[in-house]
Amino acid sequence: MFVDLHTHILYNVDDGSKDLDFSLKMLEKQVEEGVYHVVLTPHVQSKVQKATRKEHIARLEELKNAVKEKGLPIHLTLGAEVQYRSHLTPDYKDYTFGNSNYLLVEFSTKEEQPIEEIVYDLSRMGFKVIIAHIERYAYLSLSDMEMIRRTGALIQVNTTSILGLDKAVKAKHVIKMIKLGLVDLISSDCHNLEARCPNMMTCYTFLKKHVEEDVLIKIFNENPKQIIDAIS
Amino acid sequence: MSKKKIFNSERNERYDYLVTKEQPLSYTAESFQKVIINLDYANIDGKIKVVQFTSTLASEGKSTFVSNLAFLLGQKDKKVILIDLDLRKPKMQRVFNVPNKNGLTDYLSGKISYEELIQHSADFDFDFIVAGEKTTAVVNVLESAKMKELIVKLREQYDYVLLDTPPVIAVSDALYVARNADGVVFIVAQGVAKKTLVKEAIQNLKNNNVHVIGTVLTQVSLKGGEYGYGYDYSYKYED
Repeated sequence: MFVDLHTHILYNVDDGSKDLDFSLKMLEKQVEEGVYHVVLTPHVQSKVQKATRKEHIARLEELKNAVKEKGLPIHLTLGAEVQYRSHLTPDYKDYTFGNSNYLLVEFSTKEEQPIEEIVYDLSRMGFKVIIAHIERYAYLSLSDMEMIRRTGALIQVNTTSILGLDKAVKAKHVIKMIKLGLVDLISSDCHNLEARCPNMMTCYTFLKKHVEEDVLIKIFNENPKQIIDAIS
Repeated sequence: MSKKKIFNSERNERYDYLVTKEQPLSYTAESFQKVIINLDYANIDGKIKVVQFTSTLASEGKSTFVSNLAFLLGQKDKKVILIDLDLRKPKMQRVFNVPNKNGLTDYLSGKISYEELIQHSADFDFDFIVAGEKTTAVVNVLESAKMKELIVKLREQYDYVLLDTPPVIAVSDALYVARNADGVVFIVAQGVAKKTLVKEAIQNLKNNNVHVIGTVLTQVSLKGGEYGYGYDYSYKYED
């Protein structure tokens, strides 16, 4: 059973799910893929952001009620995917996973950002930073990733990158990162029910052929469990 | 492919580990003591209060050196403040394990008060100022009248004001800082800094009428036997 920590299932808040009905379909797919806990991570400080934090919270409640009504065996927690902007100094506490200190941060894929420095500052401010889909930042070397990790961030990669569905990323490279111990978490970053759909089980099954089981247990079970325990 | 091979390139020492505090009886700590004695001799008249530290290139051990020196001076009951003036690649926050918040640039741009600017390290027992928010107007900041006023104020309140600045060859920042300092200590990493570049850097400082108090050799290999201590101190460039 899995936890999906990076999803765009909350509806009408970004470029993910359009409406409540679609969100429910995505959650049904999550259950099919063996997921029992989903963190909703709408884009924040991003061009695709469509809703305020207040609206996120309101929609979470509506979605929770709908899930209950439908009897879906799945937990929901509100988080966010914060696009790092050097000129903005938001209260990051507003965007952590539930009441925990875990904070999912994404960086520019085009323009190089001093990720290690940013992680240092955020972690000394008390946050546990999760780097969203690190494999997309082509300007980072493996050595850079190791430094970022050592400074205190958790490294997340997307299922779609591993399954070869993200054309900008080489799946082989991501598997190499996993083998080198650079990856802490794998999430779907699901936006829809097509290419970027909930696919945790699919990814796990695929990886079993390439990566040692104890590594997968750490990434798919132990590490997410720590985060979930901090939320509840 | 071994893991070691891939990840070897970057520095992995901890900035918050001060050898003079953790290993006070080590050769390295003893060498630091010698630096202080030499600094005292160079400063018999007590005119040197604001001391700047720079090097030829990056990663020669400035931040490590300055923070150890500040710690030892503090131990000798001197009132010391350490300022991170490497506004491009600030490192001092890592020595103290704090975020780079409420720093110099924040103060100079009027966002925080003097009281908020001065931080105290309970671990190392001396005051410090971190660099603060990144800015592209580094030279304007360093040249500003408010910066000058700040140094004047600190000069009154402390025995030593230690300034950590960027390397000389890369950018001209160190030269702007030097206008507010009484002298410069030049840091040379043995086996790293090229002789011609060191000469060029020091000449550069002298051309700008900067008083070079002395040079410090860091990252000395103890295996060679040529230098008995982790740090050496030289009067070679003293005026």
